[in-house]
Amino acid sequence: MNRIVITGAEVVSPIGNNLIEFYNGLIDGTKGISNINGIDTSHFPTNLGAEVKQDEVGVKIAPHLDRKVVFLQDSVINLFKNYAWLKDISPEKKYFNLGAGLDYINLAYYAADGDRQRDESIKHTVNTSDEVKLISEEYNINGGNSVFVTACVASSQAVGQAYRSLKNSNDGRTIIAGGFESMLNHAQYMGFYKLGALSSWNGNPEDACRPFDKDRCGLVLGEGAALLILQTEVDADKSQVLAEICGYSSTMDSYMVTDPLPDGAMLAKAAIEAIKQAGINPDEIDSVHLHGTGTRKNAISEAKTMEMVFGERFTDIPVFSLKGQVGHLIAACGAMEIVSAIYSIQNQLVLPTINFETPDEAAPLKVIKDKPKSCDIRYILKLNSAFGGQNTAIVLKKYE
Amino acid sequence: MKIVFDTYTDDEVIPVRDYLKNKKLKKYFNRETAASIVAVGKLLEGITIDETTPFYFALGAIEFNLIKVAEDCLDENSNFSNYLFVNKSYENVSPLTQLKFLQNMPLSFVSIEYNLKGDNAVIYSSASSLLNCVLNSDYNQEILIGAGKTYFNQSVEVGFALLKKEEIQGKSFLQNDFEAINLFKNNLLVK
Repeated sequence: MNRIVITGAEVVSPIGNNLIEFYNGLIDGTKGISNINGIDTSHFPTNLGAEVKQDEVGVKIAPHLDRKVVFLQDSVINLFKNYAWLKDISPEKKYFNLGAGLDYINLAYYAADGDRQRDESIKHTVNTSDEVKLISEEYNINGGNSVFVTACVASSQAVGQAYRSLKNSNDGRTIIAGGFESMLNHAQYMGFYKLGALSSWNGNPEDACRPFDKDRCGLVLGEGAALLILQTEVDADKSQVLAEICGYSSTMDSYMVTDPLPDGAMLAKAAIEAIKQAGINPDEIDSVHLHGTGTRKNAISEAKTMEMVFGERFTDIPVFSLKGQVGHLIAACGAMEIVSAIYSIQNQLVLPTINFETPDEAAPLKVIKDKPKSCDIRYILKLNSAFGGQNTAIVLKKYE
Repeated sequence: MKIVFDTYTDDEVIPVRDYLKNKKLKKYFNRETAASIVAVGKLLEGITIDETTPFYFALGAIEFNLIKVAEDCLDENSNFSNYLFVNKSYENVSPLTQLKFLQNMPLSFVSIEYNLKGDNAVIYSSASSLLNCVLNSDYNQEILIGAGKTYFNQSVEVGFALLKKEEIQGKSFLQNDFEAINLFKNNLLVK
């Protein structure tokens, strides 16, 4: 069976607009959450967000454009610039597997436009699938496009499905897998606010998302894009390999659409299946990168998952969540968090979870704080869960 | 291969209550979710499927109908007003509305209603992407696939099938990314 490796990555994020800036943001503990600048949030009941920035403030983008598509375009530009060999791969052997959020509707223009019938709605809506096709045509990615819209696990499913596709193929395909998202627009931001999931933090905005912290009080929406280049090891330039993917599984809670399964059982099942697929046992996992949204229920549920998977050892395994720094990128969170896992593997350290200050006895996890912890990392387990109850688990390995 | 395809006009009542065990869930449903619950109920009539059955669903291109929201956020000069958007448009929007827009909700509610806990994915639109999930699946058992499409006027189409990988291998439409609902509408899975 093919070994699957990651031979490139690019990111546009609230803590950096390319991979190098993102890596610097990770190690510096840069906090990407602030009061939103990129859209008009006057009269909004809350306006915390983790925006992609230009000159340190949230970037403003023309309102007829879908912010997430702009970030995808920027990350594709960077990817093809920094991995120029992609152009040498024949078009029918290049694929896109991407996780994405809801189509964007320019509500203000739609409202003011006129009779608001079907044609006006479509005129002011950016169809995500169509945008991906346009980018594919521009960059000669002709093997096929798949857009996954499974909410918070969309991009981890995109990566996982790319992994499966490569395991089963011998045709030299290269898959650009990842995700892109922005819910920082009127309709989607207020829709999420109405769900009651957003952080109620009253202090410094950059401290608003507090994964696993005793005073955590909700999630903060983030935006950006993250892309990975996946190939079989046989087809890859070994000097370019950043990490290996050796296991993937997805399950469903079949419980509630708004809350995770309290005992974390189905996320644990995904983790155990992915670990088994990797040909290892749970004792060999060196660190876990959790979903870690900053909500009350998520931390408790993920702690129970950890206990189910690792037994008594679960309080000794260092864990990490990126969301304190970049917020919750919903459809793109899995892919961006995989890039932070790659950073951990490449640098043999577990990063501190930003804004984690006070442990919660109800979620007794080994969350690193203040400064990175050096450790031998061979395997990282990456977990994600979605509104609606879908779960994913990916095992990443240091390439040897 | 067992297949169900249902279509409902905009004013047709979807008989989801006849199929729903937990009637309280109905308030969360959009029409595509309701139609999906009914269609899967018909598909599984007389059949028991394992909770590990993989389930892949493809959503049709979204046609937002936000007429009421839009009308409520215009000022006396027909200009968009942030103030009215927050204090009138969204004041009248139920907290459950977001659940009616999120694209993974048909799959989520079908999984809850029919106790499905296995491998899964929600695809946007493409028939070939949906079927590639089946072909790439690690599982050799029967797989549940479905597709839906909601139109601007709230008419809705859904299709579901239980199939095995070998039943779709080599089919020509694997190269075609037309909307997945057409697999069911035009009966392509058995051609």
